[in-house]
Amino acid sequence: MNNRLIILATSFFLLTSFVFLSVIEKKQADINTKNVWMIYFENPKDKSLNFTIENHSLSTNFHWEILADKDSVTQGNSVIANGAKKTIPVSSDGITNKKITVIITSDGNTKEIYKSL
Amino acid sequence: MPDFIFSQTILYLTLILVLFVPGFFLILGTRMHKEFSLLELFVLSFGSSIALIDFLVIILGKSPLGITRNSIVGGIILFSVICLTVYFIFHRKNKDESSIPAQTISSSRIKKHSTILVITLLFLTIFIKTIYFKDAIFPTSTDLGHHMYWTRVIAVTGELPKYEKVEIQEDFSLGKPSPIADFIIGEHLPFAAIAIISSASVISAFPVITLFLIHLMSILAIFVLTQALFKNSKHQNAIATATLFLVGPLWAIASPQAKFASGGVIGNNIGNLLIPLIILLFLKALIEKKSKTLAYALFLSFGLAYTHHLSTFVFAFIFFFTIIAYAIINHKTILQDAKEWMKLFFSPWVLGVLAAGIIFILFLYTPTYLNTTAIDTAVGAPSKATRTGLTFAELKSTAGEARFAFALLGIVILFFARNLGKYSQAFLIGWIVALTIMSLRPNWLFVDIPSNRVASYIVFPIAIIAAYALIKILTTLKSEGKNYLNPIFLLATFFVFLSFIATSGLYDNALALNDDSSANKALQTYNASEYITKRSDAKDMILKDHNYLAGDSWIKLFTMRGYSYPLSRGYFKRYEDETKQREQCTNFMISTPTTTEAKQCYDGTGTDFIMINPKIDSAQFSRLKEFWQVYSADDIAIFHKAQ
Repeated sequence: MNNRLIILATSFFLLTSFVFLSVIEKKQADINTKNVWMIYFENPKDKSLNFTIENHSLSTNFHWEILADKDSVTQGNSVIANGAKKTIPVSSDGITNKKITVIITSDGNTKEIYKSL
Repeated sequence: MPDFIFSQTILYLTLILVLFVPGFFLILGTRMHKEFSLLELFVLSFGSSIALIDFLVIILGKSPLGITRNSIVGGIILFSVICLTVYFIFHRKNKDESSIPAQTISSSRIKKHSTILVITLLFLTIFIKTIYFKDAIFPTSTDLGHHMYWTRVIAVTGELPKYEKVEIQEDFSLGKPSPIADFIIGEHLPFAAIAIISSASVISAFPVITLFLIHLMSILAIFVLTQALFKNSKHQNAIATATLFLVGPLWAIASPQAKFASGGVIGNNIGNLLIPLIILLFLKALIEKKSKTLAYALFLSFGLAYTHHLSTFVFAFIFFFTIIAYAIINHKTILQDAKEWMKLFFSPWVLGVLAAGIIFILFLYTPTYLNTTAIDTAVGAPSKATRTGLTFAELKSTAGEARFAFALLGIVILFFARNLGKYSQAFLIGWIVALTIMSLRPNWLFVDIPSNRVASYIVFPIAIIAAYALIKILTTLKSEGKNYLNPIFLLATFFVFLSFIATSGLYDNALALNDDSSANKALQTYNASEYITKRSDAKDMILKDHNYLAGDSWIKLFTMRGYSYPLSRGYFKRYEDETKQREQCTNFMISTPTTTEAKQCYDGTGTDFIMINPKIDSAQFSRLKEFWQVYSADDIAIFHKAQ
């Protein structure tokens, strides 16, 4: 059996496989291809209400609304490109004993975050 | 793109530097290259490099140099230069000796079609496994996450890790760090060396690619071992090729094959490489009566001991049963043989390696499992239902039905196969008997280890013995000068066997293939991990859920605040363990946050962040005023417990 040929062929097959898998992994690791978006408070521990929309989806139009308990306080629209994020400042001055909920809607998908002040 | 090509080139050069160069120069420096065929040299260089890198990085970690890119590369170069110098000094003294390995000369006589068949089988093996890895290459598996945490600790600190965990006490508080016996340093050092030298992220394809490489080398190790075991048979290459067929493209994915690589079962993976290599070296040392080869076998045994406790434990039993098998088969000559073994053993090479190993264990670095708790855990009456042994049907399923059927026949033939050579026969019988008893009747040997883990080791000897049986049957039916079957029936028999084996093996492959990658959900977990890491500190305590989050064991690679950080709600069955009192806090805090016990747990552990799957576990938090949902994605949400 030609050992040299077996070693060379195995090394070649492995190298090809590794490069292929690395390319696949690189693509899989790109969150911008996963059609997901997320929202979060910039400061989770204090009472500030600034929040960020992080977009990794194909949709770029986001509608946001702020509720104090069940009453709408303010709302707006943002255009955020794929791979971008936008922080929206919200003042919490004068708000006490209320559950502040941020509701974001995009392309029929809704997410919310909230704090009880 | 240029960055990708550059990083790929650096990674592959690093793999060669770390996993091939030190072992090759060790074999060259000790002038043992003449003892092996080129393929054996290739696989042994790889296996030895893993052991050498372990020892080198431990020495660096204990020295003022620390574990850095310069010190590791410098250490490898220095070691290689020393070996090369020794080689040239010795070479000058022995100019007359032929430098062509004997095996190479005989290898060249074998026909071309054997080579093509082996290459085709290796291509199919790599191809099928690559198809599987395509959906498993993105790092999400739990075990790999745990191992890569320690790898990252070494890479970040430049020091040897302290394997410690923190557990929740009966008073609901966090206890002091206690040692972990389950992690062995050799599982992490080669990966740390590769990560440090190449700058590759541990959250990338490199860990699985490295495990794939180790796994493929273990298949080649089985191939060369089979050649060595059947050296006396005129069908040596046919049996080795059949073994490659049974262990390569067929049953290519199920444990302990590709699934162990993608699942990050590092210790087993390396164990499956080192055990065949150690058997190969012992076999050669005893057959050729060479103490240097015996010393090499001992060196790799030390390497195994520093890499994986279960594999070491399994190998100890294989060794023990081989001696028993040898004594039974060769009871008339055993005393005379024992004297020869003693001569081999009491040689400067063997005693030197033994002394170095003992010094290393006692004074430099003692493997974490060498303490009473760990030994008690593995030895004794089986303590759990999963450790009381498999049923015969379960063992058959683990081994693969067709392989198992032929192996059963092969075991019977083996007992009468004196022409194989006394050592080959003893090793094969010892290997299969040890693993069969350990898997089916662990209580006979006082083994207290999960039986399915032990049984996964049986795949390799089963494949070898099944291949032996297959070739034996086919060659007996067509012995020289007499055909017991009409050639057409003989051909039909061959294809019936082939169909039976291939159907069984390929069906197993099909069952094990993934439907889809879990990358999407895991990426959300990693995004949330980055968020929480930036916005919390070590005074905060995070609790995450292991049941419904993807890639959750990787969260600690973002926080890097200790192995037990964040706390984790484990699988629900763990909280109902009748054999051991388990803490319940991590379950209560997510499942029933309003109960008194949960409140005590929150206070005791200081938990103030919860990471859960919003589709399953958000309802119980959204009702409570003190919990704020601060992060929201499709498959992960973070809640903060306000003070």
